[in-house]
Amino acid sequence: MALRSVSIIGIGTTRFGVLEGQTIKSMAVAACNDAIEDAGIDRKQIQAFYLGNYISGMMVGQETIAPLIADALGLRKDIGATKVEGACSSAAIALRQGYLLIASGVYNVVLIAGVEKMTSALREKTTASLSASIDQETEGLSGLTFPGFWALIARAHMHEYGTTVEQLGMVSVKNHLNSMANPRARYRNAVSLGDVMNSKLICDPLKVFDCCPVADGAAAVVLCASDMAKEYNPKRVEIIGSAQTTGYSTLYAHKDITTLPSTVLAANQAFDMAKVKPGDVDVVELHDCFSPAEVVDSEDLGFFEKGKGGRAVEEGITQVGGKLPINPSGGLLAKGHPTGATGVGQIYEVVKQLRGEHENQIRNAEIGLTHNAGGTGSVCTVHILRRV
Amino acid sequence: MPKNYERLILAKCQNCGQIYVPPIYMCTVCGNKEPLEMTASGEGKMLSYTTIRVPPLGFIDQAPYEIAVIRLKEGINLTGRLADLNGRDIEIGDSVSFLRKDDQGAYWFKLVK
Repeated sequence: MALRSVSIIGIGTTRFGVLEGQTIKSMAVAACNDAIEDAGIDRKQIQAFYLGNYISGMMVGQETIAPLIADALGLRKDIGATKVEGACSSAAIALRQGYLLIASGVYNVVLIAGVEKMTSALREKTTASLSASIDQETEGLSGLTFPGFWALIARAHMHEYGTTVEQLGMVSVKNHLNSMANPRARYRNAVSLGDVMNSKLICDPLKVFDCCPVADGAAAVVLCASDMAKEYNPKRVEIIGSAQTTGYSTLYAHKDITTLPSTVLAANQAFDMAKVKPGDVDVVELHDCFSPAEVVDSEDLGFFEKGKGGRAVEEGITQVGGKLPINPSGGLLAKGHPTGATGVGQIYEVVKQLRGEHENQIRNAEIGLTHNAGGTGSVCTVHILRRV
Repeated sequence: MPKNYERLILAKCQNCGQIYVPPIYMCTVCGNKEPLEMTASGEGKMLSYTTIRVPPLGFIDQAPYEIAVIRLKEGINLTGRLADLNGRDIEIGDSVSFLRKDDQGAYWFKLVK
């Protein structure tokens, strides 16, 4: 079956951070209304609503949030509102559901959002919620955490390829520098390499600034069949690649613990589908939940040879002015990580880049890529977007 | 402590020979639905290690603690805890041997000099 071309015609978001007084519903409604207005459509044209969310039940005691948000938005009652969950990939999976349904001809206009409310919960509840995507029948019983997961990968990568703790720290320095210009970011202050190296040790060799902060936030996009999209927003962006893959439930099941196979598979699929190569990409928003994740992901996505990701950061290749800017938004490390919203938050940032409207604009950006690795890399999504 | 907690029990497919860390519900290589228990050597080498300083619920009174990914002699990896370090330096590649599985389900290893 030939797939129809799908475009993003509207984008909306809240700021990511500590949004006091804001709820799951208020944030999602605000982001969706922005996206609908940006798209220039009437909300009654929306034929389906897909929502990404990871842990609303554990964090704020609210489930069934997709229909609740659809009701609060005044969407039509004769359409479906569905929540999807895949840890940190949740919102990107929601996007992919909308993409597939338009590409296959079922719908013409679909609303996508991602949302998470995290900062009002107790710290123990947050830790328990985040750990819930570690396999609690096996590896979770050893007391492994996500910082631990990435610390183990980091140390193996350092041993195997000579990556240094300074190179990991430079990821955080770069992403904090990028977030200074981004009004949607949780942190907007610069940090020096010394600040990173001297910050509190969380899980050797990772320190506080090697770990992303949780956040509240929501982001939304309106998807439309490309042949109809011209009627609405002339600044549309086309989705040319979409992939979702499955990885291992535990770190120990990885033969090589310096790579996430689900990212490699998703990148290969998305590049094949988009008919572009890693070298064609102008801007990347990837899943830097911890500083070593950015290094490992940048290799697994095909941008750098295995083992060279740390050096690429040190050489400035991934800075805003570099050959391949990675996370010009500030990434998860500085923009913040409202887990279930992050995937669409990245799409928001890349669409702004491709429209030429970003605060850290990459000159003449034409092709952008987003990536999320959820859980232990047990779920992965990659999307490739192109300016029309 | 039950006797079998002192042996490292893995799961092995009787059909294709694939070895797993339990629990598993089938052999994902050949589809065999009845993998059996096997006793492993308990010997391995450290692939990576770290110290957990911010623990999850249920582990708060244990922190800080060392956790490692171990390549077992049988050719598969296992995530386990390191015991009796007493400030000794540890390095990737160090030999370890299985000590026990605790009531929480964690596998404990010690360094082999």
